[in-house]
Amino acid sequence: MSDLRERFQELADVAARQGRPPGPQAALRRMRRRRRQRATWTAALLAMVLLAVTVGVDRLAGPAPLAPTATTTASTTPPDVSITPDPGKVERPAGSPPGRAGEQMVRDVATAVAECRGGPPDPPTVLVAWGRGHDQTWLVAAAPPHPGEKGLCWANGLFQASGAGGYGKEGGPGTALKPLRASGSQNLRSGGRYWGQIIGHVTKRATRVQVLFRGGIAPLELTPIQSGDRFPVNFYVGFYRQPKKDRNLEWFVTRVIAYDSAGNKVAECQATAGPGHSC
Amino acid sequence: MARSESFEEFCIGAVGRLIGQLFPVTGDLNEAEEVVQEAFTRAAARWSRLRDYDVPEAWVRRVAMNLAADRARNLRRQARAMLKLRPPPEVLPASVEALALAEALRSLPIRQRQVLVLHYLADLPVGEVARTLEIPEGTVKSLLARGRHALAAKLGEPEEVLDPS
Repeated sequence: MSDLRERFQELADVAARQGRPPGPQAALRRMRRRRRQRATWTAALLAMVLLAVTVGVDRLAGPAPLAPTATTTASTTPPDVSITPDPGKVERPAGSPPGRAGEQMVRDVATAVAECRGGPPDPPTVLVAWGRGHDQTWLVAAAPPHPGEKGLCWANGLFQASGAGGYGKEGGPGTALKPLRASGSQNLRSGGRYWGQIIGHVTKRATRVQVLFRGGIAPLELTPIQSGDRFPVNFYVGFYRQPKKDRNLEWFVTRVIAYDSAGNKVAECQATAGPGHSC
Repeated sequence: MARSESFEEFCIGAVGRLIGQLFPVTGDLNEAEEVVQEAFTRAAARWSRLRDYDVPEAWVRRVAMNLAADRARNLRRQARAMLKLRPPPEVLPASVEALALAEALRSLPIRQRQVLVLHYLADLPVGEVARTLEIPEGTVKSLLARGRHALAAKLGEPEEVLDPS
């Protein structure tokens, strides 16, 4: 009978092997993003204080017209590390979210694809699709697989307008591609409500993806996003409204079914319960 | 450049070990990855200072342990935060005994889990465990005893078998 030390060690070894840590680049990226946000907030706060002081002084001084609003520029903190992740080139057949935040979103998902491929992919990552829904911007990026590869490296991201959010890599060059796959988020707050998201890939034979829920949520009918000839699957994205009483954030998806144009079922997956739900 | 490279080297060298140590505390591999990642993010921001530490990994482990405890205590708040879901954790390919230990650990209070992991897995003496968690040594001993007792009961094995020392 093994003692506690041996059993702990075995658990730790298995967890270390199975773990998918995002790596040092992700830590550095997260740190830099926080610094930028902190600098922006500081600048905004400073501007508000200056404005308040200006207004207050002017009121004390009498009815003279207000002085021009004080402005300030965001202070920039030089990063203490100079290395940057290299996501490589990104093709954007569908354009991309605008602005610096949009650019960062693209870079984030492209970096996740590059991590999946073990470096900047060749041919380059493709930003397959992006869109907005419920105050979120979602993106799907993927690297065209090399001939003979059975898997696919792709990534999806979900961001707020500021660029804050999450993204993750999916699949892998050596992981057999399933005809239907789904994952998502369940706690997006928008318009005073909570929303869930489902995102995944589906076989090219499918023309319709039906998502079934529990909790009385009506089924969702989604049309796959055409990814083009270079990819073996298409993608799909959808949002659903969480039941009010369940804002404690469960993923209510129970089953996802793909149909072809004749209405035949071509793929199906059963959602798993518990943390890290997927299908 | 050298600074970032050394942070990268440090990160790559320690991340597997730390995830292995945090997994029995969180009971969830994704959660363990998240707290370790967050701890490394904080380490990156302080790397110019941390790199001179004898064991920077101890600092990261301490932060990760605190984060794991905070997240366990504030589940509601944590749930409100936007979480990006990943595929479900696979059933770990471990022995029946190790899986039973993981299951038994999930039912223990977070403090007991931390103490057990730091002592039995990170191999820290009681005094070092106390310093890491910033609690008195007597409390560590008490938590260790209670943790061993609870594990023995849940695993249906005598304490002497689990800890022959």
